[in-house]
Amino acid sequence: MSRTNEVDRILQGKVRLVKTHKANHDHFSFPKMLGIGLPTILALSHSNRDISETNLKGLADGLGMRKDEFAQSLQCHIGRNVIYLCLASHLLRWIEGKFQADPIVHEAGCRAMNRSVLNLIAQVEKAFTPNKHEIVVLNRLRAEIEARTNHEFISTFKLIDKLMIDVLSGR
Amino acid sequence: MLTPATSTYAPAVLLVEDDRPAREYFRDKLNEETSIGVIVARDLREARSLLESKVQIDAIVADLFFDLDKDDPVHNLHDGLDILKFSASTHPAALQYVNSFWADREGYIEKADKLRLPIKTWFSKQFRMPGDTEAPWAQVERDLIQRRLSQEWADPEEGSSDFSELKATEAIRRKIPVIKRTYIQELIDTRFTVIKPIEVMSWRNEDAFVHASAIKLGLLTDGVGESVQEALASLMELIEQHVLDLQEVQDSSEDYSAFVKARLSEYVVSSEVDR
Repeated sequence: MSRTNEVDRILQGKVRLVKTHKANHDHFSFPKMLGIGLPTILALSHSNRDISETNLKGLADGLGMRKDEFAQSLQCHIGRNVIYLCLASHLLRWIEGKFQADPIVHEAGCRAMNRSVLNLIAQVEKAFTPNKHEIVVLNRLRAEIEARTNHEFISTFKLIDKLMIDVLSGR
Repeated sequence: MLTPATSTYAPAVLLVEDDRPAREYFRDKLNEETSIGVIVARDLREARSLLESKVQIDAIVADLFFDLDKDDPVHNLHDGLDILKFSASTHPAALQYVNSFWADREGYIEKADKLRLPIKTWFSKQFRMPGDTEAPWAQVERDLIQRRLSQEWADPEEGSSDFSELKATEAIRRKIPVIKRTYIQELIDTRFTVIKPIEVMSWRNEDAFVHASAIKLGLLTDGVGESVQEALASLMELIEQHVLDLQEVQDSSEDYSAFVKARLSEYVVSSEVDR
């Protein structure tokens, strides 16, 4: 299977994204029925060649994952729950930066994104059992969250953290 | 998403000084009046330890004389010149300065020559001598910046470090990711009308592609292409797609899609579009 097909399979199957084919790019977004309320989260450029390393890094960045983690998800080692947690944490870091830069200008957008992040977290199963690859990713996310102590959306970070602690401890 | 440039130049100076008031004065001046960072060593042992560690040091400012309990006889380090000699082995590219009340004492300049130390300036601790036009910390900063610039536009093929304005501009263009501000005033699909110019920031990213971001719309993805034009075309496509996708989003919703929809409606209107 080509890498393009592999990526398609994971994004549309495992991550449940909907693909829209356009002239320059394929756009990937969450279906409205999930009620997450996020616009297009990934765009993948067309090319005559198979997906490049650069494309993979871009996709990984867009999901809040490291390139090797995304590669592991292509090999089915990292599942939807962990990918959603990566994305949620990534989007929170994004609004963290926006809010700190200018809380007045960005407040409305940040609060809206916070709402969507909460919707995204609600899609994560509460009692999944992570495999060894997923445990590494969850610990990475936890370390990043622990470094954040004081900002407007800390309660959502803490919510993600609590979910991960529960999963890691098997509760 | 718009990401900041990652290439930065942040030089640091090692200040080796056993006299506390002098050390704190020079350190504070570096911190408050220059763009360079400072790390201090209170005696020669600490200086040696820092030099042996992997701490980044771009320049060293050393006192000449150290009290007996502040030297490092085990490693044959007795004065400022000894530590500068030692630093030549650990940090050969670091610029060297002496800072002492006795900077002009006979014998030391001779010793420095003998040790082949490339000391740029012998500062007097009186800091501002009659005739001085520049404070020592300002001179260290200027020397570091100048060296960095000469490295940036040295032509490796010609071995030249000619400071021409043209080469400087080229060096800056190559090294600093320039962010271009432009505007989208129409979309590709003529069924969409741009009613207010959409501000776009574009830049060449680390992945070598040009990214274009409509920052005020709050889109989560950038337009991407091999040129600015391609990235803009890709962004236009993305905006059109968002207008279509978000048509059914409830205005009363509080999620991010509703926010982007509201933003988009300030910039783009669409006639009846087939879904």
